[in-house]
Amino acid sequence: MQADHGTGLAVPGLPRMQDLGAQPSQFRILILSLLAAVIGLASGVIAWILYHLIGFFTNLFFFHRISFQFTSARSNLLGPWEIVIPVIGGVIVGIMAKYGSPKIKGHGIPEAMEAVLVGHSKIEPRVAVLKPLSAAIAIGTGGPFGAEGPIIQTGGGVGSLIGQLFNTTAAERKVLLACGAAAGMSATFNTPIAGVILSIELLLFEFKARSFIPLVIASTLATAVHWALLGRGPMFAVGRIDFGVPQGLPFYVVLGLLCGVAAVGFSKALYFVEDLFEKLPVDDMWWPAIGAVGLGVIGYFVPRVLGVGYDTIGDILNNHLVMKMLLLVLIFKSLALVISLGSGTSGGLLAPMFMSSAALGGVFAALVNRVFPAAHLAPTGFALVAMGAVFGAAARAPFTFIIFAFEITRNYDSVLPLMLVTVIADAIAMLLSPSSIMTEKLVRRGLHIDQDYEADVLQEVSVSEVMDRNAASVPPEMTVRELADRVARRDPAATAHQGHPIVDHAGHLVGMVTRSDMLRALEKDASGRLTVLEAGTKDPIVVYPDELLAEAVERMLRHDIGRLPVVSREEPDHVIGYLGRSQVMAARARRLEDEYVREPGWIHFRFLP
Amino acid sequence: MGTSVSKRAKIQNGNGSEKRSIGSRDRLLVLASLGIVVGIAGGLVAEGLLRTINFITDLLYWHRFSSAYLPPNQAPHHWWFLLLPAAGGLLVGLLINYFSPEIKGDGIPEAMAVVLTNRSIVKPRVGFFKPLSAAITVGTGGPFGAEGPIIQTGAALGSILSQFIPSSPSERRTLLACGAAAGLAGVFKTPFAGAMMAVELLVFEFRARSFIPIALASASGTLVAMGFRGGNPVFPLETNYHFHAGELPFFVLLGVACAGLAWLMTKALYLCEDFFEELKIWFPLIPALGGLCVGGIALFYPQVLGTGYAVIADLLSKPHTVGQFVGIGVAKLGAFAIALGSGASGGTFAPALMIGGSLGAAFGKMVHLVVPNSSTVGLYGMVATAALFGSVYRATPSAILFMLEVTGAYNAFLPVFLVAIISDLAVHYFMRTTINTERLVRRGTLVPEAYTVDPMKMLRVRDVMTPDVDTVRATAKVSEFLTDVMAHGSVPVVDEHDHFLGMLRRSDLIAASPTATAESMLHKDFPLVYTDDVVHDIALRFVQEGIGRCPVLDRESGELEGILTAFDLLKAKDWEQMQEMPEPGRLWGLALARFGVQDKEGNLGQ
Repeated sequence: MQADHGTGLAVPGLPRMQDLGAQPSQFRILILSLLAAVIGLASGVIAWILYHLIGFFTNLFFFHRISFQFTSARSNLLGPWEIVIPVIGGVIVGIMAKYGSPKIKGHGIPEAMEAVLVGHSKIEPRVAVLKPLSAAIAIGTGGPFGAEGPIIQTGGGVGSLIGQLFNTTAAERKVLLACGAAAGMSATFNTPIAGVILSIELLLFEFKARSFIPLVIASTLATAVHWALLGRGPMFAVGRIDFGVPQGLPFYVVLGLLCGVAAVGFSKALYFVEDLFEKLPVDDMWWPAIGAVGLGVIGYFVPRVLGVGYDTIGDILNNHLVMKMLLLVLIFKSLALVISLGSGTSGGLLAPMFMSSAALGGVFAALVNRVFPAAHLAPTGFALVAMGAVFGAAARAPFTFIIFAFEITRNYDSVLPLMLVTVIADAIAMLLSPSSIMTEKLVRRGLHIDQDYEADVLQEVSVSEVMDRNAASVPPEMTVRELADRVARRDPAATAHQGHPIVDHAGHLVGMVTRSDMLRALEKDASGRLTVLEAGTKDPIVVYPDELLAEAVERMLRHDIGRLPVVSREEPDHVIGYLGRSQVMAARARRLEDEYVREPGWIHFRFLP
Repeated sequence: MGTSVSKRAKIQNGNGSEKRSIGSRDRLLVLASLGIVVGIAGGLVAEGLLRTINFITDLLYWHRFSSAYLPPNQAPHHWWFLLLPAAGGLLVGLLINYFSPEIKGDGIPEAMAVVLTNRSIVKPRVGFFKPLSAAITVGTGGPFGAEGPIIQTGAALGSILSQFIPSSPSERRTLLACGAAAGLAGVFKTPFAGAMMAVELLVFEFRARSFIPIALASASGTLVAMGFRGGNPVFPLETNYHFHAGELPFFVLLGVACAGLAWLMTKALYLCEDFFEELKIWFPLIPALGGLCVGGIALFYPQVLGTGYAVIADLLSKPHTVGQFVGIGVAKLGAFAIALGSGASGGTFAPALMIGGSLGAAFGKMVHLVVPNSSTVGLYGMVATAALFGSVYRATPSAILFMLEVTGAYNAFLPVFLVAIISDLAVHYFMRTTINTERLVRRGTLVPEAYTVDPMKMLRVRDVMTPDVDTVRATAKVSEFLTDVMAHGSVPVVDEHDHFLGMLRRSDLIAASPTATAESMLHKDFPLVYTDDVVHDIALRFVQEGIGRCPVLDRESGELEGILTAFDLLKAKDWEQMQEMPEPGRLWGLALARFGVQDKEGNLGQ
């Protein structure tokens, strides 16, 4: 696998806490909530600006007029000349990427994830300006993209920039970045809950109350801005849909399988095209223009693929398109998407995938109705469900897109089929491909992305549960030679651990001596006449039995030591145990047995794996 | 992810142990199908329990054989109703004392305890006695909901099913949470909230391998419930919310008030519990005593009896006076704390809904005096309920989803979000435990409240290893290198072309003759670790194979790249703690003083 040769999450030699000499700071939830409110409002306004900017460029390029009215490029009267327009856009975006920032390429969310994982959640100001501009140009010249990926990256950029204005920790900036992203999503689609959950599933890499509170604040305010500027209606007008529950459920299961395969198919096709461009012998500045030629040709024959296509999604969800048109949209929108996005231009993945997958759902329902006329499936219901399922499975964010599709329709009947289909699709996608459309790009760069959130074992176990209560202590007068002899004789008490607490006759802890202290002393004086107290550390760092392992590990890392004597809180010089690295690792492993050791059941099934 | 799974399997086969490896993928389909089974069963159990409760209520309060929902507070009144909750309490006390002590209490903390301390193994008897005791308690008028017991019963179902087949604790935990999600969704027809609640309170992780079965179970449970009771929301509410800026301060105030109410509810419960624990009488009499108090309160406020679903719907949709609202809320609070504190078996969920709903509605009434065109009283009730529920359980995401689903009033999401979040924020400052975790924390169990990505699963060996290593030439004699390498537990040996040959152990050196060559003491049985291995996998091997220190090789060339020790593995934690380090902001003109990954390149290990 190519992933195995790139650089890791950090360059070799991770900066260490002890190098920085700073104390970890408390997460300031109140201040963050206030900043989140600012970010929510700002992102809401930016989403509105981007929406109109797309309209502006569409009008300029396709209709040669100055207007911010959001229009569809579909009704242009340019004839064959319209093939040229996407190419112009491609050239401009290529130049912006070359001389501005290469981070504006792509669909936005992987770039935001990368900033969180390796960039200490710092996004450069020019990305926050160039990304929406490039996306608006790419979409305005007919690019078959949505505005949401760019908005998420731009919103994230705004959040990160506001975080960079103040003294913040990387964790705080991450939350602010996620706030911006959630706000961008909510402001574009009027879907506050989905915005929050999107950030949790894709950007935060944690599920904590401390990040949830600012996220909700930002997302809610951005939605309020959407209401004020764009009205309260949903993004796509959706009529009353009959989802056909429960008689349609078996078909929904089949749709789930189909959507899972489609999700992986999209991802594979996109990266296949990207690889093809990699092989081209021209500078990557020209790739977007080359991709745009293909797009222009497709757009000339099927104008519906051009631009964001919210109107087409609305048509599909209201059953205004016939089967033949649905098939055309399904095939050519997907084709246009992978060709142009694979060429490295700037634009969001969400809207085009929604359009293709809605068409997929519609075609599926229409086909089933032909084969089983008694089924009476509503194509609109299947289109909506497929929309949520394909993207949810492709992005590995099923919860986000279940809620998203529900928030768009606000119809509670949709919940059951949505949950069923999306979850099945997600399971299929997981079985077929280990990385998602969002993480594939990062995996290729050598990152190992883990999106499973679990409780930290070290936060669950206290020191007293794992410490060694029988660790051998040594008296302060013992010479290094004596101790070394015992090690050489493989005296079990002396070899059990790498270090020994030094305890005087009154039972007081006076120091710590480790194997390397001994060797250093022997090096200085080969006869080993130094006492262990002289060779070891006086006033050692200690840990209390009721502290969490996480606190003990933090202390080990901070002082760069591998073993701590455990002392009781009442008598801080009374040693009651010994905590070494191996005890910490063993505690971790014991919890991991919950995952890896399967116990026999009451019944033994042969066929189960 | 795929590579790591296969690697793990290989490792453990090599180790010859009986332990079987499972990745997140190979059992997903089995768990997902079992999730559906558990979901349907959970939905049926929910329906069955609700009907049993109704049957007992109808028989005792309405003197009818029926399983329809007839609210006990509307029944023609008799003085001996006073004794019904007491009789129920006595019966449950006997069950607890002689059959199954696990059935005491709400149900959610018990399910959490099983997950955290008992490897998700629930005793089969709980699956029978818990719903029975809840049906008796609630049916005779105990001021509880059915949800807590259903969650525990569903959890028991899931756990019992998983015990039939070979399963690991984490798989049992997933199925247990499936049952709980299905139980909740089966009572309230809230598939999102059911799934979210299971994630927040029971599985202690947020990942696809548990989310997929849980979501399927929650959906199936809802489907069963809809089959029996139709698809309408349980507490339908028309809100037609319109934004009024004048209302905002009151929403903020309501949020803070709800946090206070959450504190009061938790404290009252544990005060009562402590009080009853002090009583030195025969145990079954204690729930009976609690029941008697409830009966007494019900003489004045019959609304406190039973689940009170009808009362909640009524409070949210029909006009009442402030006095009525406050009276019902306070009476329910008292009855709830006394009855649950006395050890009866019932859910805290429905009481929280009624307390929040009535007191929120009272608050809304008062806001109407100040801002005449403010939102409906029902909206205030709904909003306060979400906030109270979120703060009491410290599960605000579930609470928000639950309230939106159970009322069907999606257009009111803005105030629901706002108030619930403010309440959540406020409650952070004066409560460390929740109504669920207090009991566990008292017993010394630590309850995880945050889920994060494990840094060990994100980092590769090259990110944490010590790259600059002292090596020893194969031909060198012990006396030549002894002093240089004694600081390490073991040292790699290389030939004249710097090719890696094997490891030299310090413990051999201590007793070695000074003229022996390094080659003669070489060990070749070192574990193979490559730079691109994921730290998590290697950490597992360190423990299983008892490794303390090993060389790291490049997978392609086989060249030595560095040394990995147990301490290096812990450095993965540094990555996490680095995130909490403050960095100077641009505003303070310190932009140049930033430090980043690049600035520190190569500084490690010196």
